[in-house]
Amino acid sequence: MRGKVNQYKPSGKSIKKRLYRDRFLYLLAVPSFLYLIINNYMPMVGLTLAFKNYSFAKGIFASKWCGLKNFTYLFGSKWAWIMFRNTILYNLVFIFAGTAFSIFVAILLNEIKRARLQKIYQILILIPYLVSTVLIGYLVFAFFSDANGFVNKSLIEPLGGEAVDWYLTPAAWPFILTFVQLWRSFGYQSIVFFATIIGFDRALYEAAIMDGASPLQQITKLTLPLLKPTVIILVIMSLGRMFSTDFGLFYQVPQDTGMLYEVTTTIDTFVYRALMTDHDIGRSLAAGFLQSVLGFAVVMVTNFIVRKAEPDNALF
Amino acid sequence: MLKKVIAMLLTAAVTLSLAACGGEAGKEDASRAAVQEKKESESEPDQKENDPESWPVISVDVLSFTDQLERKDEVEQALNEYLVSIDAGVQAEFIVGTWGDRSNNLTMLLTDSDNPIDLFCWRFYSSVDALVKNDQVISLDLYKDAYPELFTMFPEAVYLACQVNGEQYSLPNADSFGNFCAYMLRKSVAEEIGVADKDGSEITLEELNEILIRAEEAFPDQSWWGDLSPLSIKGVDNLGDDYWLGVLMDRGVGEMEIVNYYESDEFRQWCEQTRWYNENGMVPADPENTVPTGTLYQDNVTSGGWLDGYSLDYIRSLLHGQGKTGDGDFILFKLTDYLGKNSCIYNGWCISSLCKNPDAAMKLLNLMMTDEKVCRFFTLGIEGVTYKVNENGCAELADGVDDSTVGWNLSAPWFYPNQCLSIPYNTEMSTYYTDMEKCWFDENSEFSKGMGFVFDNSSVYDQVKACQMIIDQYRDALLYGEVEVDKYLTKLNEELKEAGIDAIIDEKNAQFQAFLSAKGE
Repeated sequence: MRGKVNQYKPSGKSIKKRLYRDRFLYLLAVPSFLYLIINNYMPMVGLTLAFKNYSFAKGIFASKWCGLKNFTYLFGSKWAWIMFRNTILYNLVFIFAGTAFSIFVAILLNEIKRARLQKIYQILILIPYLVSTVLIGYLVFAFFSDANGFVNKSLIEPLGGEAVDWYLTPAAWPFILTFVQLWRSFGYQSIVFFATIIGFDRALYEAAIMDGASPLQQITKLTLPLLKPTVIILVIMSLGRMFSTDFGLFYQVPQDTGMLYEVTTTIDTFVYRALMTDHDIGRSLAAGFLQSVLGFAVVMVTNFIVRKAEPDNALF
Repeated sequence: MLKKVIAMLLTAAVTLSLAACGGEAGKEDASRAAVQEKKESESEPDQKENDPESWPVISVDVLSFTDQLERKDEVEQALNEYLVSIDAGVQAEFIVGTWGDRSNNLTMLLTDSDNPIDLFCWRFYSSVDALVKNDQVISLDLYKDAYPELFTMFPEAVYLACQVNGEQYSLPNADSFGNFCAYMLRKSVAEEIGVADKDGSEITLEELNEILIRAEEAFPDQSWWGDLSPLSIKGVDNLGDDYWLGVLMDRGVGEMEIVNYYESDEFRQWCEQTRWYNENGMVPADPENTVPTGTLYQDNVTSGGWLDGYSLDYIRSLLHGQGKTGDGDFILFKLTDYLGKNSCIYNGWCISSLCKNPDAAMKLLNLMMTDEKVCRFFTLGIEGVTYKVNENGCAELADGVDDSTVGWNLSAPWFYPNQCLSIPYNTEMSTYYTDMEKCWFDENSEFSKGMGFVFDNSSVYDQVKACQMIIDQYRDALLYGEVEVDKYLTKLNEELKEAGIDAIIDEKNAQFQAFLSAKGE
């Protein structure tokens, strides 16, 4: 399946000549470069605050350095283990289970032959992605409320069971949160994969059918291998956010219930709770800095491994 | 050629859209920038003091509960006209902060060295010690001689609560500075169970529990517990720490040692008490996940709850003024004695460390605290436009406007430095403020030994953060009586120990003893 890669080769002309030759293309890129520099690179100067005692009166540059003092509150208590464990495990589950489920749905979408139905399904599965997290929090509450929730009142109690106080039962929440995350994100991801699938050369499928391939064989022997590069790139990019979590999912959905902290505390919610009254910019930035550095490291390592195994599929 | 033209057109389009993004922000800041320009020119030494055009303009914090105040410019202009008429030497520019965005907005304004907010209230934002730690405010000690009245109008102990290391960084807002705990019971319930005649009487917690048992028997679908109970009934001074990591017992009156409240018999007893309320169906369903008390009263789901205040009339006035407590009136029982509040006060005004003209800011703050008319512009707006004065001498909405069209926030007089200079709004209690003022120097108003004590947690910061999260994890469930007391109180205390609560309390005690010694106690 692997075709010849058309690589760009420099013409050997001097940079000056190439700049002049492609001047209009570079001109076209200038605003985007400016945007990137202004929005993505210039604010990085602020990262120095992760190592400073920020003074509102003195500003970024005149504030005093404080070494790693801003990082210590993230470690040294039971919360360090809890928040890193939760952040990493939830992300792994979301990335792998979410990707697998989204591919499954994308393949199902591809099997629908009537274009109109296909569009209706796409719209329907996209809707949860567009619902606000605060609203999702209340929907979940409507299901799991102790006194009036659907699960207790319409399922457990009519079946003769004893009502469960879900907001005092931490063990249930890894499953609830995973379900909520998959429910709201699979539609968007499926459409991304579906868009890739419909771009595949139909001639390959026609040839496979001519060779007697069953629908299942078409999926396993054609669709999945063709999808692999896209999946790898998306997974590597997701791993870059391995140490960040969706704040709303872990704060709004469980409604910041204290008894659930063991399973809902991630780095983001910990930092928010710890610093929300302190306005401590240095410590907030320290957490963000750590998340970015760790995420960057994970991307580099993963990409390195992919490059060793399958050089064509590596991100860079 | 066509490609080149397209490339140039696309470049121009992207550049213009980027410029437009910047332009929007520029527009928003345009008026402030103009004012700032004026400020800068005014701060020059050769300013003409008699020319209002050259007076400094001080940006000042105004609280809104909605997205905007439509009459902001109108009230600002009226205030400035008044300031000119009294030759104040300073003008004001209102910075309206909405409730929901207050924290973010103030942080942004306090980091904006070009257009900072000059004068602000730290309520719903921060505390005096955190403001000082972050270099967000300046010391007001310099102005003690120029404005002596501002530093003596309230009880001395209250000023101490706005000091850090003996320096005054904030001036407290006028309040009663003392309170007691009361219980409110819906009047129809009280009549049904035959206790309506006890309205206004002082009862014990045991007597209240007897009443609640009867109320629950008569109205089993109701709950009798609104929000978490106030500190006043728990009898501790939390020293301004909402996590109670080391408190003074007996509300701090005469107490010299900071103790671990979570290990005390008092805390265990209160948890057992709330467990009893919960097991007897008196606590609302899903208390940790339910909307705040007000809605529960309004929806007639809850017919009783705790509150505190400086007098029963004041509490009645609050209940009447809020008008969102469901069907009928409430009767009140007094549960504890009147005492000075805990050593943290929750409201005060400061001058930003980025303020370019602190003298002018102080001048405006002085007028807000001492000039009745200035005070009324902030608390009530413009007479005849946003409010009118009724025959009781109280304020009510002006003719032709209602809550949605008044365009000014009349519901937060307590946000401004001296509400007592204004007149009461939306109440029949004309003595609302005069009674409050009487409390200031009431001999019954004993204050905690902790007044003015500010804990510097730098050396135990990590332990404090770890303990706070543990308290967040278990405390509400215990205080709502949702969990078994023995099991979870033990867990709470074990985990607090592991996270370093003893080190925090030791450090707090050491600093507290040094503080008392410095005061000569």
